[in-house]
Amino acid sequence: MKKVKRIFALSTAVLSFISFWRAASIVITDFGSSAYYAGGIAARAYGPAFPYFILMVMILAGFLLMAYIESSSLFTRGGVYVVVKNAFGRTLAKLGVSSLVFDYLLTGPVSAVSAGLYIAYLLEVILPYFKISIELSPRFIAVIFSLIIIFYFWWENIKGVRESSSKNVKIVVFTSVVGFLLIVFSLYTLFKKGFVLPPFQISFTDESLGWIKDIGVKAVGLLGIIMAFGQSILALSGLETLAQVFREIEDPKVENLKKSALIIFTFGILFTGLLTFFSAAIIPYEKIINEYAENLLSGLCMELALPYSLKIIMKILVVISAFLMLVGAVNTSIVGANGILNRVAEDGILPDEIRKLHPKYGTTYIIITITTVLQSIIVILSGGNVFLLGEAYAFGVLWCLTLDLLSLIVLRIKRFGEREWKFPLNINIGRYEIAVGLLLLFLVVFSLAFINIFTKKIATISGISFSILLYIVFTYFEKKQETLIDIHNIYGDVDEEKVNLTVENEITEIFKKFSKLNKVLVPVRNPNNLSHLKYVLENFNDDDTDIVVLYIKVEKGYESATNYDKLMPQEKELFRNVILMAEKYGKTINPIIIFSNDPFYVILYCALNGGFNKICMGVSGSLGAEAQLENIVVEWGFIRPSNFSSKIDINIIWESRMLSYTLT
Amino acid sequence: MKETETIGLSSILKEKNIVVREGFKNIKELIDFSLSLIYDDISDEVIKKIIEEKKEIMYSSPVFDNGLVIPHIRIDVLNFFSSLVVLKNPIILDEDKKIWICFTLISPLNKKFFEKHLKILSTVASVFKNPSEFISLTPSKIYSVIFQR
Repeated sequence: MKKVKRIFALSTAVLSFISFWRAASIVITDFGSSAYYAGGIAARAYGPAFPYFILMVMILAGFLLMAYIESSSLFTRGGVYVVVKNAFGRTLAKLGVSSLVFDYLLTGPVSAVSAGLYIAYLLEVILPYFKISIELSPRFIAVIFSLIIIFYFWWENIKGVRESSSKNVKIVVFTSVVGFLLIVFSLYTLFKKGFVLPPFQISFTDESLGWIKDIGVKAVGLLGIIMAFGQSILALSGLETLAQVFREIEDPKVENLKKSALIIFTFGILFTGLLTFFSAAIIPYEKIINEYAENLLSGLCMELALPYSLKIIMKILVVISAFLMLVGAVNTSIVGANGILNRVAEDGILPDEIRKLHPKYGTTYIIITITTVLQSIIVILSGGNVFLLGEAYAFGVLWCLTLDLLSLIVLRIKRFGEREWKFPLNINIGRYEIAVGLLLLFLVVFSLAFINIFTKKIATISGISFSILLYIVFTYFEKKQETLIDIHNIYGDVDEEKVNLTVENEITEIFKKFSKLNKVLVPVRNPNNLSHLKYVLENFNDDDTDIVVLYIKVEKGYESATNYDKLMPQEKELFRNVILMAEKYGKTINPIIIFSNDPFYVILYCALNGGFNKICMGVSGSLGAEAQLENIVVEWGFIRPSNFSSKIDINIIWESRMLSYTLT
Repeated sequence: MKETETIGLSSILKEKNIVVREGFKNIKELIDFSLSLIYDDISDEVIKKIIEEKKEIMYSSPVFDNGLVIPHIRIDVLNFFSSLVVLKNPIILDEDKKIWICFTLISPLNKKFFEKHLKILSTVASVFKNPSEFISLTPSKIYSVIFQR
């Protein structure tokens, strides 16, 4: 007797997609958080001209976001590793990603420590009112606070990115309100006190000159400007996260990415750029250096032309927003590091075991744990000194961007792939396309990266050391993986998607969660024949349609897979291709596996019991479309209930053809 | 293609083409017999020759779990031809597979008849879901049961 023997549902975080606003909020919590510390660190490094350079960095970020739109439209699972690998091969890609991971590891600590300092300085003001005194230094409080925050977001990420990103949206909304109030009160203050532009005066400290002072070159003119610009790059953290979250953005992906980029750019200009500028215009420079370098926006509150009580209220609001944004940046750094290490692990340059999924939450918990442990160590080593962390930062982000931009230029020359969007300013010479816009952007970023090698000693030493170490680790595992593939795995070139399986006892249980107006069943079998899934993803809106991708594993004898790892390589390839296609279109799909000895029976059984109104199938290579339809209608004749009053449309799709029929 | 109407098998199956009998050794013999019933309705020898040429396809028709087999081909004709053979003793293929009922169908190849062809197949499966209902009936009784459905 025919029987549906076993039902498995596949789960992985990538199968549901996020809005452009949610994607923007993930990036903003990292990128926008630098407003709280970048100005203060830059002011200490090279003097009163810092607001101009922070604003320049925000404008540069706008151009870099445009470059990210082009690279993301080229690679759904993009980011520096994939882009550089396709342009220059694995060696440079590994170097790029090594330096980027270094920055992700620093972004978390610099944000957490900065948030801790904002809180510690607020406590210094507030606690005396309650006759409480704390003997602990602000930096010690910052370290303790940072460790708690990193632990908290370790747990949040173990639970999954979707839960974390919903919090990011609330954080960004709250911070935007606080930012708006600060802008309004700053304008009022400038109106009352009179507006004077901050002086464009650059004076480097010995520390920020780095090896330049040893070489004997004078940091003046264009060189001075490039050096100051380079010192301000720490305001640029978090942009790579945009490439990491692109795979999770919902349809239409590139259009939504553009909206995300515009939101991020606007936030950067208004929140980081303008508020840093207002801080410099309102707070005397000496006060910034001596009192507010570690909590610049709190300083801005205390210098506003407002009654003292209102200043304190604004300071509390700023500290709450700093807390939320900066701890959000900790989260984003974990999400970003997790994303990029997943990409490289997929490519076999990290042991596959580290991508093992958490049995309950389906997240890559080993990568998340390694990232957070390393961040905690950095926090402890820094002793809560945000300037030290700032000094170490920016090596990775600049070299990674340099490689990324150069790769995009090379990929244009190679005419690699289809792009939905291109960075502007392009010239065609013969059959080659010269990306002039990208070239100019590359020259700017490269010059900053090059100068920073000499000026940011700590960043150069620690960045190069860490990158080389990680590069060695990558290379070691790459070689090891190659050996394993050669000996054991004839499907070694097939990248494996990591997904969890959950077991359901009753087929009706699995269909209870599908409650949308339309339900489309998409049976799949051949990893190279998914044109019917493509058709569904292109023509159905997942807002009102449940798309269920069904794989029927024909069970023979006692053969049975109880977990995903026991599926055949071709089956794993099938699910990888299904997931990649869903990611490409940014539409939610629900994959399930059913064990049975009769595929046509299972398809109709599912359609009937799940209330599906459409079945979209690929053509059977052995039967052909018409014979396939004949088999289905015969099966329908057997199982159709006498009281069935609905209808089910069947589409058999192959190449650009479709054979349709309606079961009633 | 839309399924817009229900198809009564009586519209394509003549009562004289319904036979209840036993003694078939294998599926080939059964299909040859069922085709001989259909040949009585076809005067054109060319068509008979085409059917004979395509008979091999019918021999490999799947036998469903309930004992039904529906040998069918589509050729260049303008009408549907069919016959029904109900077996008093089944042809035993293996432990699980037995043939109780054979509904043979010749359909027009033209695409405009494909929807009707599918509908007939679906109806045959539905009508003969339980072959045991028909084993003890006479051809005229079977015809009236089909007519009622």
